[in-house]
Amino acid sequence: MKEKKTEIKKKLKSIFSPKKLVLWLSILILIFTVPAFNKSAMSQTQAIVTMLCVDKIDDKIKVAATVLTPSQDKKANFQVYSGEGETLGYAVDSVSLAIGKEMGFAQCKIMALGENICSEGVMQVLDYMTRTKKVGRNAVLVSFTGGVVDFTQAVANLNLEKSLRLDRIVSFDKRYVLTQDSNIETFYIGYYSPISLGLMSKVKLGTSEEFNAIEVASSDSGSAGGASTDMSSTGDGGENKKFIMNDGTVSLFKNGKHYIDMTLDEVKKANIFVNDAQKGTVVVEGVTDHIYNNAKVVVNILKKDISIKPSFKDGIPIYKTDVDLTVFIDEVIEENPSERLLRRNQDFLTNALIAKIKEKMEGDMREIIKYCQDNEVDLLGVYKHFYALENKDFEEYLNRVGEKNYLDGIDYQISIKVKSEN
Amino acid sequence: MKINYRQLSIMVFMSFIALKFLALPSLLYVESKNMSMLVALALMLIDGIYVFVLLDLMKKSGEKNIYEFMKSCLGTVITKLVLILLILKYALVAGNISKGLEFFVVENLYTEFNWFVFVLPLMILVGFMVYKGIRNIARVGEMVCWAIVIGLIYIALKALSGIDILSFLPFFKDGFKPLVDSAWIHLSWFGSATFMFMLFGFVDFRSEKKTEMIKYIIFAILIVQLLYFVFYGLFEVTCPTHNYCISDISQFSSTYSAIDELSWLVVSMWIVAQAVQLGLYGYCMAQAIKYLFDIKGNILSIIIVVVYLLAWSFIGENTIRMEEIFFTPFASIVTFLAQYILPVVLQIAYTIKNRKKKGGEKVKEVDYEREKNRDKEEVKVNI
Repeated sequence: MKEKKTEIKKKLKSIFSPKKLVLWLSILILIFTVPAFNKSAMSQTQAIVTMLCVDKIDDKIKVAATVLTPSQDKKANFQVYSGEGETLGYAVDSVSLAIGKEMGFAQCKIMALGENICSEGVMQVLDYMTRTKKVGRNAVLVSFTGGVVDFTQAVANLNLEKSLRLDRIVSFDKRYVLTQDSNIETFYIGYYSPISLGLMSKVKLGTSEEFNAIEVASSDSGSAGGASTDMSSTGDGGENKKFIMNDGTVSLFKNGKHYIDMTLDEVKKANIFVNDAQKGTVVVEGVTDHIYNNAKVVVNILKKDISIKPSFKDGIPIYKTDVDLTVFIDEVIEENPSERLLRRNQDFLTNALIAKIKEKMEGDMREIIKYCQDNEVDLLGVYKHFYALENKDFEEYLNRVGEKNYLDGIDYQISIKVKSEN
Repeated sequence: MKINYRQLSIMVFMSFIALKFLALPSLLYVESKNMSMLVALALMLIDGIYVFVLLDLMKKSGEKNIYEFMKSCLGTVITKLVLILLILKYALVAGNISKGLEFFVVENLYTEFNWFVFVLPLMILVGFMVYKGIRNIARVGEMVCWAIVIGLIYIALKALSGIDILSFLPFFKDGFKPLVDSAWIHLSWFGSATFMFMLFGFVDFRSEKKTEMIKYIIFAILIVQLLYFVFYGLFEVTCPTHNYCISDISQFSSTYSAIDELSWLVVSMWIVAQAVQLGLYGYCMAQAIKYLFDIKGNILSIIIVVVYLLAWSFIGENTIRMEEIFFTPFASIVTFLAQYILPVVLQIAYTIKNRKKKGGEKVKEVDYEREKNRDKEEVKVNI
């Protein structure tokens, strides 16, 4: 018995000797690497999708995808393919069938949703794309106007012609327009919150030039240089030149469906009372004192501290917002500017100006609250603050007035402090 | 081949953070919602207390391994039953780490990846680690530990600015019951000290620094809490849909800077740490099998462990997820008995046995303080 054991030990030692280990390792490497030579390159079997546009036209889902094909020719890098089908899955499959490659969405940075699909509800699209097609939840989410193929082509050309990327343009919005990133994750968080409110940047595609529109080609001819391939049989292109415009419009979604669009002005007003948005400007008119003479003053907000204190008094909810602003006088517009404005060593943030800023901001807040009440959208996060900080009283209040009208019975108070950067 | 006290502390640290950064935070959220952090904190604190209970037992066991120590306190039959319990616990943890890693790499990191290409080398690695023994596992743990710590802190801090404090409020809205339920359902993800049973007789306590272990435990708890704070603050109501905590945090907080690429380096390091943990629990399982069946060499028990883990990959591929087994009361009961009851029973049995032997032969306890002083004296003499 002992002899047998020592024999086995000897055999094991000889099998696992250093020299034989190298041999084993080599065999192992061969097992894993040799079959790879028999496979075609991944770029031949998988299409790297960097952007996907979806819309619904005549009861059919229409998709267009920008596919990245690594190439020395820069213009050949991005190609646009489109397809349609009864469902989103069929539509995506039709593109795969047409180009003979599986659509890979792991690198998809932008999901653009057309007006029709936005009105019908976007959750099914997002669910399918993130769960089945594995689009990352940090992919930028935009709603758009214009044709699916035209828009996709225009965005691809924006990159090729102007070296501008739509995902970066929209991400930049967070600093000035939106209070959050416009991506799939934040949209989900908004959708699954009790108020079921989602926000999305809206990018427009037009044919006429507006003041902040960017001109791009929208089809394969012209400046796209033949790099793109429009396979759509119902090509919705027209003129070659189109204009992409991100004017700060934000689409609001309730229960996953497009509800209303907010203009840049409305969004900016709302942002002043939300802590997340740090940048902003306040414009006041008719400032008159020892420095200003009926001046229009543009004040830049450099820093903003907002403290929100929800409370209840005699069963009435009070939403108190303390705003502490550090500002910088950006522009002073007077009919006949006097030399006073050029004097050094004086505080340009005068009491008259502060009073005007406060008056303007209070007015803005009233306006935005009325906007929220009229449209039944909780842009300021009133629900979240009361739910988190005054839970019991708030639930009683909700039982009393109902979930729908809770914004109406709240007493909104605002206190503003303004100081200059110095 | 013994490991020193510092290496043991690092292994405890690694064991505390293993299993915590994949599916667990999202699973906790289902029952305990915004109070999930508290559930994790409470269970980790209890685990921390049990580390010291086990340390005390380890010192009492002296040079004896766990089998010899339990046999002297509980008798052969009960010892064998306890070993079965421990094998189950190790099998659950090792299976969970292995399946978690497999899903993470095959499903999350790559779009098209043959699971076998990942699993086979991993199993060879596990077999090799177990074969080389606890000292090698401890040394690898030492090597990767600080890289993991820095990486996890980096991922957490990078995402910290995106969190919403309000999502943690109100506290205890639904009372304590959901928290207790959640703690019981997910108990098997904790019990991080159970690996210490198989280290009885393999730790050199002469290098012990009293506060070292507690520092590592507190550090582990803080890191887990920090990551959970970021995770729950970042994803709020969508937490249950995030199965890969660590990569989801880094993906969500990614910007357009080159430094983002570092996140993937951190994730890769974390995969290495998980492999070390798999080696540790594979080692514990192999040791327990060896004691149970009185196997002399290491090879057979290693083969059993590797075959078990491979079988999980084969069977579990299309039929069952390891998490589903972890959800069962069976898994919670195994952890409860192995982590929380067994150390207490051993302490009681040891005390009773010593009382009985009063005046007679006492179970030999090593006085490590005296050993330490003796070492110092020897050094002085040598000088």
